[in-house]
Amino acid sequence: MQALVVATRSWPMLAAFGAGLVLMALAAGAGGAAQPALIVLGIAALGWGVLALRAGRVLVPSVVLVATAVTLVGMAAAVATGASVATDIPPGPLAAASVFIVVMALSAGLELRGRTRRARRDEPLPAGRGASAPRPAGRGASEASVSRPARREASVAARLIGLASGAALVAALATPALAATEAGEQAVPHGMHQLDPIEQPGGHGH
Amino acid sequence: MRNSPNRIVAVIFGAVYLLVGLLGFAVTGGVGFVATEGGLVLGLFEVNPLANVVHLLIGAAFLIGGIVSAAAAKAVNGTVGATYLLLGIVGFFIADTAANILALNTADHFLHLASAILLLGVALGTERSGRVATA
Repeated sequence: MQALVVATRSWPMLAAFGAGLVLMALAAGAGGAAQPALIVLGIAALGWGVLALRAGRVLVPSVVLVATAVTLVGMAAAVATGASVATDIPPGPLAAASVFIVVMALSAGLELRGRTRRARRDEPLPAGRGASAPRPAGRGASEASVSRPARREASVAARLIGLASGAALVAALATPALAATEAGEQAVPHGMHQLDPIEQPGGHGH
Repeated sequence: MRNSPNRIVAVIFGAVYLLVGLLGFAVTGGVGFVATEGGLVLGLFEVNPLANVVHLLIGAAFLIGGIVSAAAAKAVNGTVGATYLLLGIVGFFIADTAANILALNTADHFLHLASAILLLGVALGTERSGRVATA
């Protein structure tokens, strides 16, 4: 269980990278007021991902929770009202971006719940209730029996496996989403460069 | 070495990139240096001689960084990861210009994106300042 927690700890940040990339790609093809909004959201997601990775934890979870909720509601409203079609935002990449945003929102929610639980646990007990009861042996006691280098190597392996699998999952969802954006459709796939006939200047017999 | 995620990733990526670079030359005989039509490595990833040279250089940088120290490996991982990601973002906005070199529907772009995220994740998320492994 602990290994799973270590392995997936970076996934919200990797999801933020995925969200940022897809939102930026959508911004490149969007029109009207949607373009600056998507650019701001994309930069915010990428910036948060970098800062949270550096910090090793979910940063400003309250802000993330509110921002992701507002973004998801805005996306749903844009699809429901037809505004996304009017501003040239394809639904597929929007859905992929919303999956990444949901992962960010979940991580923020879990972080806030964990903080609340820790705060409750650390509250001083009322006088006479359990004041002298011995605290149960924590993780530290059981982990002390495992050698430190072995624990460290296991942690490194778990983190690397988590990062590699998280990166593959993000790429697996982001790549088709990017390809479905206007920018992706205009990109020329390898091996297809010669298929489009190039119009020669003066080729119309003038 | 085994305690440093950055060194492990740099050495693995270095070996893979060098191998891909060398294999690339086996399938690009007669292909122009910067030709848009190249050979297929492993039947999937299209390369031209320029791509092979870039793969060899990046592979060498990874391998040297991974062998020298954790800090060097971290620097190489972060630089290559950030460059891949930035090129991807810039690429969206130049998609319809002559400067577009992206091919977002292909297997190699899936790998490039996954590599960028993994490299950036390892460089930023592990061995943060003051905790770089020395072994």
